[in-house]
Amino acid sequence: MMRIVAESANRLVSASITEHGITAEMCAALPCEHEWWSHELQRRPNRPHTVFRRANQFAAPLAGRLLPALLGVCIASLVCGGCSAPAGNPAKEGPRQVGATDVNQPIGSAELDELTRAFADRYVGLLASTCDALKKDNPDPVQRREAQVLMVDCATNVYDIASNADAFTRMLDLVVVTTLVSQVWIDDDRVAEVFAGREELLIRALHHGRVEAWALAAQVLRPDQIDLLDYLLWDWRRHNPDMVRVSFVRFSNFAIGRGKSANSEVLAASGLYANVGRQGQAVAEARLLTERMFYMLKREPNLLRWQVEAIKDNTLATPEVGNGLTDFHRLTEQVEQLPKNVAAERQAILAALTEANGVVTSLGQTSNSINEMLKTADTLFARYDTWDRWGIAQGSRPFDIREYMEGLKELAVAVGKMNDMLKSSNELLGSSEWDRRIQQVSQSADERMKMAAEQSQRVVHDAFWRVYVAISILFAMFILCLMAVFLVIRRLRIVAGNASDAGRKEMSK
Amino acid sequence: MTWLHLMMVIALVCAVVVGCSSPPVIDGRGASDQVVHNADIALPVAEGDANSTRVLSGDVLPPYEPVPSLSGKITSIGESTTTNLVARVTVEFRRMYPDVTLQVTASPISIGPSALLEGRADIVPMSRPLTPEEVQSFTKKYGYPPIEIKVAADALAIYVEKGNPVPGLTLGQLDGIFSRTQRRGGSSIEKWGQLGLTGEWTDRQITLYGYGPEDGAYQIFQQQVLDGGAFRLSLRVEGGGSSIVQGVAADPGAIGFASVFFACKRVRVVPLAGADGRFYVPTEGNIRRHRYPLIRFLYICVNKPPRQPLDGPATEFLRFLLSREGQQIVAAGGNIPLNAATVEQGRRSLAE
Repeated sequence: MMRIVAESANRLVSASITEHGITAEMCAALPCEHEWWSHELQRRPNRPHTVFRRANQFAAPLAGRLLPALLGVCIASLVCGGCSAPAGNPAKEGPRQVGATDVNQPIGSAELDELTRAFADRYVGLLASTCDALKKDNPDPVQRREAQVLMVDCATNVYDIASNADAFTRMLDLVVVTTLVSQVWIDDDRVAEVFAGREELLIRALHHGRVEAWALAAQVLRPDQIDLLDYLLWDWRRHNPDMVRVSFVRFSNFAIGRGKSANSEVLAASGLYANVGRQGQAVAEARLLTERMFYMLKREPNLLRWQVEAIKDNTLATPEVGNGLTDFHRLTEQVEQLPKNVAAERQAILAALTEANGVVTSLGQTSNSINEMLKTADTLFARYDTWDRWGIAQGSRPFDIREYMEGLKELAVAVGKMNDMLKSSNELLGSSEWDRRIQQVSQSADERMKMAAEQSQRVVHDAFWRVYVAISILFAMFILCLMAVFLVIRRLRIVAGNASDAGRKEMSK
Repeated sequence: MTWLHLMMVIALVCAVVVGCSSPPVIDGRGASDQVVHNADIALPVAEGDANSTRVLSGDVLPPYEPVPSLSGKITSIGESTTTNLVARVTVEFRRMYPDVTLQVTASPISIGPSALLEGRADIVPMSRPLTPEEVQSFTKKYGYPPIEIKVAADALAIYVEKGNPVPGLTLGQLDGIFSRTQRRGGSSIEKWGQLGLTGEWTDRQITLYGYGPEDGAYQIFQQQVLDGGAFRLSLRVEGGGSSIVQGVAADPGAIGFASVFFACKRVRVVPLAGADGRFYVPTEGNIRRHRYPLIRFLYICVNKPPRQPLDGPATEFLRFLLSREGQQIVAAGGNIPLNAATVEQGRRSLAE
């Protein structure tokens, strides 16, 4: 049953023409490109198709008798006007009228042509501004990449749609793309997942684009047709919920099973070249192709630039590159910090040495004090020695200070040794050898600091050199692209010139 | 003593049964501050398998029994929402009966009844009941009224932006928000602060989104909520349901009405006060039990004389639509399938 339902969704708009105009499955309800168009033409007997019929009646004899001349005129028009003429030239498109409602103001094909192309440029501009704003001062490489990818995807596809030969198909495709993109980003709340904290900008832009696209559609479709198209898009989204890159979807995706080329239907339905013959049709196709090419060429520099930016953002947002950049950043920070660290170490060493020197000096002063104290003690002990001798003479056990004397003598010996040691230390500090050692330490620290500074400078130089090389390569690629474009244009002009000459010769004959 | 024990057991069993089957409504607090958490809101999902299993969760619908052979032509002219449904059913119907030709055309909602009146259509899909004037014109011409058969249910959901904390709304409050005539007697509501929201919401202006006057949903909302009154002129009319919902999603101060089918992640469906004063969200259960107040049906109108069968294969098409398989297609398309009683009612009206 589910398979059936899925098929039903796919075939929802498949249609077949019968003697009554549009029939079939539900699709008659919605204009499936030109089937609906032809239905509209049939529905309004006094409107454009009458004009077409008259035009065709006029063109039929021309096709038989003046075919070569007509071919020449067509080629000349291709050369002189077709390549550079604006897309919406009424003279070329004829007065056909697309399905305007009785309520709304009817809109002509030429006007729709202009409106759709203007909308395409406006939509891309709006998205470009929004994505630039999303990227500005944004530290997150993933957000920057997503913004750039969104812009490039949409711009490429919208320009592709805008260069389509048929205004009606173009309008439907623009509605499809703007609606699906807004559904993915707004309705499915992808905007909050990807651009958390900055989503308002994108929501505003995408919703605005969608509203404009539907306003454009409202000038061509009836309200019930708009309702139906809205439902179809929503239903398609329901059946493709995981598809995020939706800017590649076209209205023809909704008409699977029709098995016809839209372009061939355009030519067949327009009626302008129906009686001109195969050659005339080929010329028309060449003109359409040329127009499409010029349209794209004019916008190619922007697309190229955005695609290069997308590649850059994509590279920066890759985890491996991100890790590498983090390591590089850490290394450069270390290099930057190295001289400071060495200087700090040196300062610390010098401070330690100064402190040690101070300690030694203070020890020397202390030893002098101890010497003085010992002299005083000797004098004192000599007095006690006299007292001791007096006490023995009295016949009683006097205060025996000898035990303390022994201890003090040992202390004096120890202090004397320490004094010697301090004298030796003083001699050491005052000697030239100590100065030499200190100089060696200082020199070693200086050398290390110098070496570290040189190394850091070398790393920075290398990095900048690589950046220069990369920029040079990109610049060279850009120049090559420009040259290629120039050569193509030049080649086309030559071909066009040759064709023009041939046309003039043909005319002169 | 024995009787007392027996009564206690019965009371206990009743309490358990009632407790298990109680509807998912807000309870336990006063009507003014009742709140439904977002987790309670279970909206129809897009997955076909899930839908097909839920179709018959509560009701047992009769399976469709195909007839040996069928041929002929069915012409359908009607409103686009129901025409979508007819188109989906058409695909499966043609698989069973390849000799049947179906011509399905969507049109503005006013075209269908006139096509039925003029005999240009065998079936007329509608998203609202026929108006008394339309029925009267038909009866005047044929001597009997047209038959309106319910084929699917739907709910008009009230959407706000996902960060909007409004807990629930009554129909009176909706009238104050959307109407410029306030026929329900309430006052005009133009700011969220008037609905009890505080902080940044207090002075935030309410922006309105909805369908245009040609749409059936507009007319139903006008009848059921505005009591026949007039919409505010500030109503932003969008072309379709998904456009309405996205308009609400992109505007923090917005409120809009559209089919529950169009719910998405960036909006919140506001619970509405039902007839019993409790607040209900438009879940399938609440819609099928008629607890949610803004319910509408999708209809197919036919010209069937009393005690006579319909001409051509239209009867079989409607029988298929009112079967288990037909309602599975209804559910897979995002609409709410009918309950058994409504299906039976439709089948009876076809047989009479």
